[in-house]
Amino acid sequence: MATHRFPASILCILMGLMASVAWSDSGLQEAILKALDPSNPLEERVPAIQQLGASKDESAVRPLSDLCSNPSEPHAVRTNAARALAHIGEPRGEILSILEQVYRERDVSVNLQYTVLESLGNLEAAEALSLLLEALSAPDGTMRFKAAQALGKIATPEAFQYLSDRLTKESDRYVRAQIVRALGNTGNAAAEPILIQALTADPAPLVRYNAAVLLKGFKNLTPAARSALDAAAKDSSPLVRQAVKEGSR
Amino acid sequence: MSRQFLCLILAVCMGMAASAPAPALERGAVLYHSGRDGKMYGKEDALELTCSALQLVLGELGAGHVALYVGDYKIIHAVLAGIEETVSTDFLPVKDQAKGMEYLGAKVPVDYQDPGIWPEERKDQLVLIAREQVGKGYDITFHRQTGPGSGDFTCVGFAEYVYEQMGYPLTPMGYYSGGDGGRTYTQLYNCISTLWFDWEGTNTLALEVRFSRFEHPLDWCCGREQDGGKHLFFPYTQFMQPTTVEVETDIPVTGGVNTKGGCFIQTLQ
Repeated sequence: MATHRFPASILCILMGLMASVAWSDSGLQEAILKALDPSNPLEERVPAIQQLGASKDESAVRPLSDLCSNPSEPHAVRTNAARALAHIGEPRGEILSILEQVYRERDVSVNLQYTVLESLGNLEAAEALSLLLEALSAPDGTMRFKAAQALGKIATPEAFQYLSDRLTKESDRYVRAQIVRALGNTGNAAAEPILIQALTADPAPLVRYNAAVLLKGFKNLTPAARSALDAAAKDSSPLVRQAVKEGSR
Repeated sequence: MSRQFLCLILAVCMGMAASAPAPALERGAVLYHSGRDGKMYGKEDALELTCSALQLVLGELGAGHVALYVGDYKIIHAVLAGIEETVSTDFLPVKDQAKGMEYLGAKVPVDYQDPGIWPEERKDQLVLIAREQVGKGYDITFHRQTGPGSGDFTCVGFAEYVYEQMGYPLTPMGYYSGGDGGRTYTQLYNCISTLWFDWEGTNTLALEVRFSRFEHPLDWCCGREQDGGKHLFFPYTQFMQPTTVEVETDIPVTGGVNTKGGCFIQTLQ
């Protein structure tokens, strides 16, 4: 009996596996068709695009790239396709190339550019440093903010250098605060003197607050950092004083 | 004489200051508007959902919309395209106004004018946290709604998340399924489009916690799972919280031209 049951059970498992593969394949194809068809309403296309991203299936990259790079597609289709591509992540070169191309497109919407920067950060795309450096000096403050955020996630020595260079000439307090957060979150010991400088000398309490929070998170503080934090306990900003006291974020 | 004149000038100035309007719309203010025809889930006595699942997700639920004002005539909000930063007039664009959607107002925390509790840098930090979410995704199936971990938000979930990060949750976390602290309504679904007839479901509106339990013939598609039921976080629940007070809206928040898909509302092209 056992000799008969064994192959039968194996067969059942194989059939089950084949069925699930066939089902997932047809599900993926269905989602691709739904996403690509411009006659479908957005409330059907967008979930299909999100489903393709969640599948992490590389066969979805080509159709998603087509959607993302087509300027005549609706804005929501393009932003969701960019995020879905970043979620799949491979083939990396192809995906990064599409995202860069979209970012540089003529008359592209700023929110699509923000989405690309967010996606490059999530991909820790060190290959896109030149684009991020360009975005870090864009006229739009939110563009610089998102570039700083992405560079913080990439956290290579080059990214670190770009951020610290920008900090000295940045006029927007939100961007400076984001740079401080990005540098502090790299875990790089070289961030400590930069954070000390921000904590002791930046005119914006927002920047000093974030510098204090990040510095307090360092495992081994130098005497200079301890001294800066001690001095910040008497900062004019209640939030900075609270950060020094509690280390809250 | 000149001394009396100076006193008079001072008194006039003080009087003008006292009668000055409430502080201008500040960054951090949460903006609200209704769904079609001024209707909004929770504002009406009947807590009714639409028939089809797609309508339930995005179509005509009519639950309204929420955005965060971040200063400089800009808002950040969660829409179908994702978390976006745009001009304040895009909060309620012309096309949505034409569908009868109405601006409800702006709210800030009750102690927002107290610089000891909300110094300017705390308001700045709120904007910073909001801006960090720009470019993230919209939770189209409402499985999480408030972001953490998933990076996906609904409009009301986004505003809630930002304030929660600042240690000031606007709406207490929790799930409501009936009884004290909200309202309950029985809906009879007779849906020709989905062939559901005389299907009875119980919908609720939470007034003291975030999530309201609902029942729908197709509720497998969406909603946050908890205790064997599906839940939604409705804008009206947040709007009604005593943690915030209404403030004057003295910047334009209507009349924009960009309609990129809203939150719970029919703003799709």
